[in-house]
Parts: sequence; C-alpha cells; structure tokens
Amino acid sequence: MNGKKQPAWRDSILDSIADGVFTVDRDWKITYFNRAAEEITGISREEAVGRHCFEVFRASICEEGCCLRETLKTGEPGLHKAAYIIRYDGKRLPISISTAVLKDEKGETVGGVETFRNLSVLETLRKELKQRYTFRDIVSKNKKMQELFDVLPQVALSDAAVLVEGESGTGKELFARALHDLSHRRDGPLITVNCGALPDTLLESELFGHKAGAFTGAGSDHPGRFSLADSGTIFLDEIGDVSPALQVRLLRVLQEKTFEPLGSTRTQKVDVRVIAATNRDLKKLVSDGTFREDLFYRIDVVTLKIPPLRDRREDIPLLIEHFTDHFNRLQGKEVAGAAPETLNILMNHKFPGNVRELMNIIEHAFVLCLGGVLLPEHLPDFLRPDEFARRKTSPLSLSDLEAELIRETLAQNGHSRTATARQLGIHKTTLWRKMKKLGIESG
Amino acid sequence: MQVAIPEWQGRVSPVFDTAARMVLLKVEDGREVDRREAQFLGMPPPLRVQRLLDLKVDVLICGAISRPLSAMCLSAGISMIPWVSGSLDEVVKAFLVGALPSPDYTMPGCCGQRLRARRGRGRGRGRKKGGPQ
Repeated sequence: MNGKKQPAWRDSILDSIADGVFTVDRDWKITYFNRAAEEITGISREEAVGRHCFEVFRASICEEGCCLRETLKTGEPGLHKAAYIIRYDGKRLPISISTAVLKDEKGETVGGVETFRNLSVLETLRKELKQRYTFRDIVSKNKKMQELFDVLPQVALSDAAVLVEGESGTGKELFARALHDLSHRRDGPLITVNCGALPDTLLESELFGHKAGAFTGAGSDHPGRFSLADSGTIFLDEIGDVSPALQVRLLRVLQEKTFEPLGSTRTQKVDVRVIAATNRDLKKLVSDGTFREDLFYRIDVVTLKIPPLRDRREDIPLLIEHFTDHFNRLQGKEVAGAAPETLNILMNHKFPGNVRELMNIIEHAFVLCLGGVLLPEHLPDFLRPDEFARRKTSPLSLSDLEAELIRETLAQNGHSRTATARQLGIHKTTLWRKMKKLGIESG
Repeated sequence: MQVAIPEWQGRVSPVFDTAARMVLLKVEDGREVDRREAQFLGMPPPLRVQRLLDLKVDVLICGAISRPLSAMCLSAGISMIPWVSGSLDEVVKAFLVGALPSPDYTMPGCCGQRLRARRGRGRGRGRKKGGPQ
C-alpha cells in the first residue's frame, strides 16, 4: 500500500468484502482502492489510484470534517461517521465511514485507511419500515395507535359523527384530516373551527354566519363555517369549551341538519359530517352539568382515543426521524438524525405537550444544528437541567460563591455592613476584610 | 461576467454542496479584472443557489455537485462547468483561455458524461464573439 509490492492474497481478501476500502499516503493520494470502492463510487481502480482522495471520494465531510485527517492527527480510529458522497452521476449516496492509521513495519505512520459502507439499501429498508408505521401523516408503531389506523378507513366511510379524544398536541386534527380524506366527502371542503379560541358570541356568528345588520358592525352577509362545510366535513376542535347556549344550537344542526344564520328567519339546510375533538373529559363535563348529555351522545357515535406520547414512548425515535425528514426538506439541511445521547434525553422526557412539543424541540435543535446529527447541546435548556445548572454554577469557585453571597446580603441590608455582618454571622471586621480581599465595593 | 469557484486549500473545492468558501472573479474581455471572496459555510443547498443569484454569478465552476443542486442552478439560469478539479489558479487560467472543460482538470470517473452544462444559449464562453465578457 505504501508503494511496495503487496502479496496477491491481500487484494483477494480486500476485494471479497462488501465495504469499500481505500488507503492514502501522507499526501492524501490514493494508493489502494478495492472492488467494493469501485462499485460504490463508480470510479475504476486505475482512475482512482494516484489521485487525491477528496477528488475521488467527494464526501460531504471532506472539507470541514474529514475523519481520516482527524485520525491521522490524533492516532485514534474513527468509527461509523455518517456522511454522503456524490457519485459521478450526481447521485448522493449515504455512507458510513470508519478510519484508521496505516503504519509500516517500523511503526511509522505512512498514511491512512478508510472503509466505507453504502447505506442506501439500509435507507430504503428504513423508508419501507417507516411506511409500515405511517398512516396518512400520522406516524406510530404503538399497538393502540395501530388499532386506530385499522378502524379509521371503516369509520371514515360511514357518515357517523366522530369524537376524537386526546390531550393537547396529540394530533387530533391529523385524525380529522385522515377521516375526511378517506371519506366519500374527500372532494368537499374540510372546515376547522377551534371552539375554544373564540368568545361565545363571535363563535356563534362564525359557525352559523350572519345577515347584514344582525348586530352592530355586521355590515354585510357573512356565511358561517357550517355553510362553507356543505357537502364536506366540519371539524369542531375543543368542543368541551362551547357554552350551554351554543350547545343547543349545535344539537339542532346535528339532529336536523338545519340552522338559521344570525339575524335571519330563513332556515338553511346543510349536508355536513361533524368531527369533534376535545382534550377534556366530556363524560365528566356531562355529569357536572356543563355539557349537554343529548349533545354528547350525538357526537359520541364513534370515539377515537389518542394516547398521549408518554404512553407510546416507542414512537419517539420514529417521530424524531419523521420531523428530521420534515425539517430537512423544509430548511434544505442534511441532518442525519438524533445522536444516541440526544435520543436518551428525549426518551426520558415526559412530554406534557405531546407530539407538538417534540416537534417544537426538534425545530429548536434544527436552528442550532448546522449538519451531522442533533446533539444534546442543540436541545432546549429545560431538557438538560443538569447541564444547565452545571453551566450556571461551574465557573463559580468557592470565593466566587462567597463574593456572590456577600453582595446579595449587602443588597438585602441596604449596604449596611453591620446588618450584613450580623446576618452572615461574622464580625464586621471579618466582613470588611473579606470584602477587601474579594474586591467588593460597599456601594 | 461574474464567475464563482468554490475554493479549498488553494484547489477547487471537491463538493460544491458543502463548500465553505467561494472565490468570485470578474472577467472582462477574457481577463480577470477583480477577485473577491464569499462565505458559504453551513449554507443549505437552496440558499446556495439564492446566494449565487444575489452575487450575480453567471458561471459556476465547481467540483462534484449533486443532481438536485445542479438542476436548481441551471433553472436559475447559472451556467455550470462541474466536476472540475485542480489548483484554483490553474483552473482560472484554463477558463480564461477557453480551455475548460478539459480532461486535465476533470475529476476521476467523470469522463463519460457531458462535461459542460449550460442553460440560456449565448451566456457562456464561446457563444459570444470575443470570449468571456
């Protein structure tokens, strides 16, 4: 490999392995290139040998993060670094790279060896696997979620009202979208109304529309969301927040498929499917008397209960991957995924904000991550309390702490040294001496 | 004519998709009249094309370039001489005398394909009388 004649069996061995192998001399020129390397890069051995490795290999890390350079600098082997190479046809090939120092018989470094594995087959398998766990835009391999995926097509085909129950951020709207897209109403509109976001009077006008002059400021006719959803689906999010008065009107639409816009005496007919969602316990609201029982039974024809993320932790890696792909596409980045330590932190988090919280965390990490993998330092501080506390306190030595305590106590006592000394339980001369030593002005 | 060449250690950067630094040449009547630099470190592919457009680049001479990024450059009207390797100064000289693309400055494995991609006839060297503008 270093210019000397090598035994023929060495080539046979290296050519028989599936990983690409090449060696370089100290000038980064290729001295050996095995058969798998030829196949993966599409470059023949004759063309490769004698050329600079970066011109043959053309990996995403050649310029800024070459592992072979790092290995030759430190003497430490590099293992399984993720990157991609650009083949002669412009195709990006995901690879995993390992590196080691190459020494001669005297133990002198003569160059380096790099082995690389084509990950595109793995990538394809990974995609296929992901497809198995994806239903529309919902990703999960959790048993309960898979059961929901199984019943969703049948539920969608019926015209029955559906109640989607789940904590905030579990993806209730995605279920509503999937139900609509799988139903015979898919060519009609899907209208979403967040009932909790609007005050009661505004919500009534928003849902049923109004006529010009119905109230102050109603200058023209305004079609309601029910009218807009005609021949489609209306998704009423946070239905548990609707007032009792509006519940009566909703009940009428559900029962009779008719309503009157505000200020109108003409009854309108509407053909709409209702999907409601709530993050509250509607049964409890019924027993408390704040939610009408008849309305509850009208919307609770089919109930889909979405488990919170803390009850389906097995989905966290899948969701991280899903959001990584999403933000890579959106931001044109090349983030390979989460590092094992990052995954560990996320697996141990309780996720009170559910999938939405995870998505926000990944988005935050994407802002700080320029490439490679998402590392713990890319995560928000609240996920790393130990690290955060360490960073906050580590620069403080004992004398720093002492100084901080004295400054704080001085401030609390209006910079009175006598009162400060009393509170700290030391003599005021000792306090003066310490202040002088620590460079504290009495203010 | 504004020419951009990604540069790394005095050579044409091996991968345009991840190149950190760009050398920008102003070429008039086949002569280099100005040279400056632009930073591209950590820039994702779509922003790279936008940055080239902001810098009013007409021709991009680069090493390896991925298919999607190459398509983006072409659709943005930027002429390209990809798969170029070698010392930056030599590559510039070769370009100024109209010797690019050339097998002497081509990355290994790229002989079989079309060496020069061009969009917008008449923009690149050799289309107009008098060479680079």
